[in-house]
Amino acid sequence: MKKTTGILLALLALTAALLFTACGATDAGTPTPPAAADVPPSSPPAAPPADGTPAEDDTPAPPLSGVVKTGGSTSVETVMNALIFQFQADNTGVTVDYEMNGSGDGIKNTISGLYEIGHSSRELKSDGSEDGLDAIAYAIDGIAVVANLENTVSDLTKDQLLGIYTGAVSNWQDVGGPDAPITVVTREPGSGTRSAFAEIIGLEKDDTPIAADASVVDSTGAVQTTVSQNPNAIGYMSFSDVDDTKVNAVPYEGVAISTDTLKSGDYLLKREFYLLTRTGAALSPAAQAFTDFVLGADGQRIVADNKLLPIR
Amino acid sequence: MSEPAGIGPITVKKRRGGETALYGLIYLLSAGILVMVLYFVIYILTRGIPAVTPAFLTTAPNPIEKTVGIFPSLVNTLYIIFFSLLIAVPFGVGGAIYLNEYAKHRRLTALIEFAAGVLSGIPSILYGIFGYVFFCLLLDLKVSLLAGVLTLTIMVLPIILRTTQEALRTVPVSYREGALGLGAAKWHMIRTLLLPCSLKGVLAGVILSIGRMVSESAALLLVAGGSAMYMPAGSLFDQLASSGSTLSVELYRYAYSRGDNETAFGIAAVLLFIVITLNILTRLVARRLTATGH
Amino acid sequence: MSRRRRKPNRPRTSGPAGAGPSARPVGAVRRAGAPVERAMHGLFLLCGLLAVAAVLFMAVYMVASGGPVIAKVGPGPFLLGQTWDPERAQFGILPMILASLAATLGAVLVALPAGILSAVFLAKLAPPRIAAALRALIDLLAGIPSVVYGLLGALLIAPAIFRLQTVLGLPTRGSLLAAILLLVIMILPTIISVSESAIRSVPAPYEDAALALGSTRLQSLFKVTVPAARSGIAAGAVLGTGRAIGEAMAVIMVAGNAAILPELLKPVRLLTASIPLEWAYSGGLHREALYGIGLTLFVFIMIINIVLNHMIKKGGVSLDV
Repeated sequence: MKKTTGILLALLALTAALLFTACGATDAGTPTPPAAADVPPSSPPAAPPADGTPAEDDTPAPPLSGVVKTGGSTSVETVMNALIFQFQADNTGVTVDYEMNGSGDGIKNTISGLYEIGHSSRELKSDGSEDGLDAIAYAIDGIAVVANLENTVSDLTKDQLLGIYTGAVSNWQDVGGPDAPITVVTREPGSGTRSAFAEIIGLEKDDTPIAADASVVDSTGAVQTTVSQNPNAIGYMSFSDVDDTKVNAVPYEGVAISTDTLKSGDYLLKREFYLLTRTGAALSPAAQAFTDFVLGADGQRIVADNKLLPIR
Repeated sequence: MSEPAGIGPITVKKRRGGETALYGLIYLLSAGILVMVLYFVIYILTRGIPAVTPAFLTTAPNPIEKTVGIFPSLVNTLYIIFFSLLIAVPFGVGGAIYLNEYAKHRRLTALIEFAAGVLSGIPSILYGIFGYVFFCLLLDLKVSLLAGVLTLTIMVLPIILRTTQEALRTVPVSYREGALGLGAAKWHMIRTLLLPCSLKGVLAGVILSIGRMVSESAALLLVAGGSAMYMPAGSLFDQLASSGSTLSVELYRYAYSRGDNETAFGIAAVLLFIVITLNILTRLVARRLTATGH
Repeated sequence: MSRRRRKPNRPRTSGPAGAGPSARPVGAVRRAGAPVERAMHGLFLLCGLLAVAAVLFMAVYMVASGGPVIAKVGPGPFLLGQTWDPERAQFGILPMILASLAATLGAVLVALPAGILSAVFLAKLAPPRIAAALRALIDLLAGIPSVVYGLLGALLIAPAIFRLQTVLGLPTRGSLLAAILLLVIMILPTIISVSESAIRSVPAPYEDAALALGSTRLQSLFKVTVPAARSGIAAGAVLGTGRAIGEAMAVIMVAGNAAILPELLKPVRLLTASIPLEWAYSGGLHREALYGIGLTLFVFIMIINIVLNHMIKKGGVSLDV
């Protein structure tokens, strides 16, 4: 009895010790002041900021600090994470917190002041419910229509897409593809991508609801995964996240999606990404610096690196 | 215990064919389950282990260099486990002591036990809604690790309560009588006799609770947020007050929302490793429990 | 594990009302500091009541958050409406209720017989070593996080069903069948371990008597032992039902999530799935409707819990899961 209790006590102590050291390690590693090299286990977590990326030359002299609360759209996840990462690397005293909870919450919480900066992948509604915000566009995103790599369909028109998404067209044969039933994949109601896509092709008007049996997924990546795993599926998603080893971006109205066709205006399925701020409210220095960074040369280069069209 | 009401007239005649078929079915099914679990384990490990490099375990994702790492979610997971247990263990143990040593009213005991049963039967997505409405909105904790901690505390409370109760039941009445007979006060008896004796039960509960929390995804997705791109920063309180996702939530994000199966399987392998370790620990503790139970 | 230990020990140990107050040498306690004693008593009571408080708070807040939308939309249109289209403020959840019931029922109907057979194997037929190994693996199965099951389901189950759908000329997509198969795997460990403990707790003389009367081993097992263990097995089934109806994340990854009336090879959306799926982008009445779904689910779960509690009391079943 004594011995076993001893063993168990030792186990408990070990677990506790593990927990404590883990927490201790992060405590030591996380306060972000410049001396970031003293992270005990290994320096990788702190290394990237230190050993420099192209954009550190224009760091302003007075060091910024504090937490910038932001949140909203999940469509902007990839580019926003890259922007925040670089910004934090350049300004080690600043944390930009990004809660991914959708454009709707991004708008609501910026109006209420919970976020200093909101993220939206759709335009603000003009019905008065979303007044009081400035929307600063920082990127143009193409909406790619994606099919499985095995699918041979070569082009889709607006009417064909409308037919497919309302359920009127149900076989790939009818739109120049193989003889197979179409699996329609759509985003969940409320999604910025869904509303932009529906708006442009005239879907979700009173007489054009999305087919009730369309598969519903909750994110850009899920569209890509679902379509890549299913030979007969069609979906639409942010061009910035299209991985052409997984899915095929189908040309729309005879134009293939690319940064060039987006820039030239030939590719018509697109929308803008916005930073939201409260009208008239002064931003904290850190939040102002972040906004300037996103719209500045370095931020816009990251935007371009992520297959988005820079706005400047 | 109910009597064997189901006994019909037993036919003495042997139905060899049927018997053999039934035996076949039983063995086939059991073998099937065995093979299935082994297949799952091997599948996850072979697909996941290549992704699990030292850098994978010790770095945060770098969206500029396009590398992934799960260190932030590992830390978030530890925070959630540690702080939830910090609250749930005292309350769970205290509740168990009350039920076993103090409670005189059968009704009250039954009520508490019923409540604990209900808590363990509520699916995690409902904990998510409750946690969001109560902790995030009403107590204004926002979507944060702290809200996650408090939500999971309620979730694991019944586990600790039950295992401690079972351990307390194994302490023979004679011990208690002996201690009290020697003039010890009740609280003294609990502190010096019952608590040490029930330690193993608490430990079993802690291990089970860790398993539950490591697996948890639905509730945390709603109350603690769904991202672990960088290390939580600032003071401990700042860290707990910011949003962050645990390993399981990140697995959902990578597998489903981001469509990155390679990373998803890497996390799955890490989770499987944790689950196997916890299972072994449970077995060890259970064996010690039976060994010292009488 | 513990339940095997608990039964024989129980008579010797203190029940809730056991050796407490009556056995206490009164004088000693009074001298040792009654305030401390009273304080500790109160403190422990408080700890015990936390679980009760949590349940009460949950009930209150589920109703407070989920009630308004049901009042606004109307209980009829909300619970029996067939169209879920939040963009047009149509919040009918009947397809999801039916999908959840169909998936749960399907999963239990498959998992229960399979679980009972494996439980019989584990408890009575397997050599001890094999039983121990299998039990360890089943415990592992129970411990695997549901998101991992979702990942496995999307890569192993879904493609198999795509093939079936292709053969039948149907669009290849998530389906009720995929959800059922995934849930079967997820609730199997619960059903097996509860059934096994129920079967083990049937006194040996029952079976011996049947054998002595000339029945075969299997006859005695299935005509005597299993029926005698039925209340425990039923509790396992109810517990499995609760697990299945509450599962969210794994099912999202294989079910296709279209809110239409359930059909085996068509996509379905379970009640649980709507919440994480639409949470991020929902606001206003849409978010409230998700709370309403939560409340509906809560009611289902409470019913299951009460049934389970009743069974435990009546059947003397102990659930060690």
